[in-house]
Amino acid sequence: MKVEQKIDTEISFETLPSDELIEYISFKTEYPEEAEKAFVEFCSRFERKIFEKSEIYCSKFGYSEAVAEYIAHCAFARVWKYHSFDKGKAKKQNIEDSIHIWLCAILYNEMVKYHKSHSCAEKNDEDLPIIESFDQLIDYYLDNDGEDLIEKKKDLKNRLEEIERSLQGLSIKHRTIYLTYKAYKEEGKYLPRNVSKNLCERLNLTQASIRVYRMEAESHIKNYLSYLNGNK
Amino acid sequence: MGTNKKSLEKLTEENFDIWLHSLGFLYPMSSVHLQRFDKLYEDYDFKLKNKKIDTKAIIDQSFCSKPIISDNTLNLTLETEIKSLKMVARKGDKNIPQRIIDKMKQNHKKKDDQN
Repeated sequence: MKVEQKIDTEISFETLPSDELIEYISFKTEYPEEAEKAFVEFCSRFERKIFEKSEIYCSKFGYSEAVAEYIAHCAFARVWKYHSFDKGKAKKQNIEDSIHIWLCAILYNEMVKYHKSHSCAEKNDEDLPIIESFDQLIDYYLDNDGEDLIEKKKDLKNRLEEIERSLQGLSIKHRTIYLTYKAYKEEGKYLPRNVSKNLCERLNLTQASIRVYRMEAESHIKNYLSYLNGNK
Repeated sequence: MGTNKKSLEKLTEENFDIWLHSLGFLYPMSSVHLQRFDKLYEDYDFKLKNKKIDTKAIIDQSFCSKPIISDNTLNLTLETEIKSLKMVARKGDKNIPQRIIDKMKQNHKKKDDQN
């Protein structure tokens, strides 16, 4: 007991790196108090970022802020239950960003699956490609020299408008199908079965119709980009 | 850490996905995507900005039994679909995919049959 108290007083969770907090969270069976404290600190560190992402993602899928708030809770509930972050896969990227990206992927997964029972998604192995494939994620799009320069805010706003225009005219169904395929479809593989089933149920469409919607959306965007770049 | 040096590249089929990942249509895949998102939305009026995660409810598992609000806007789907088809029809675009033309013809035929 004395030893446990000593450990407790020595741990300053506020100063621990986030990956160590996740490790403490994973000890919840053996050291429930420490795990809870680590979880509280972990949430306070990332909640603002995740609420922001949730609000924006949900707006793209036609969900309200109330759903965004719920889904953000689902993402953190998943961290508490499964804590599947693999530090080894984070390679070059800074660890805080890696955890942030991992949380965003969990959040996105929760949003895509939200409709089915209007509750948090159950853990499913088919989710793993989107959540844990850090080998594919990390530094994939970074500049060759590793310099992470970013554009001016004005340019980013212009780009957002361009993207919005390219998606304009697509129904929510088209947009949902298009983005879901972008998020989950791996080269040469089918969409994970549970995601595909979810799409059919949520949108009340057959698998064949989903394929048509997807092709229409892709063709629409291709035409827009072609028009934008004067290749018409 | 980067500054505002990078100029905006042309939006193309090749970089389209990267921008979807950067601007909140898909989840981020790199630090650059995170930075772009943060910069783009730094003055956005987030409705959830004062919200807190209810850690207690997650830990004691009472969170999942809370009432859940369902309010997606899929009902607007048909309206926007029709709008997009109307727009194509009005513009008389030469690049309309054959399947869209077929769908429009089918719709017209249905209407004619009903009349």
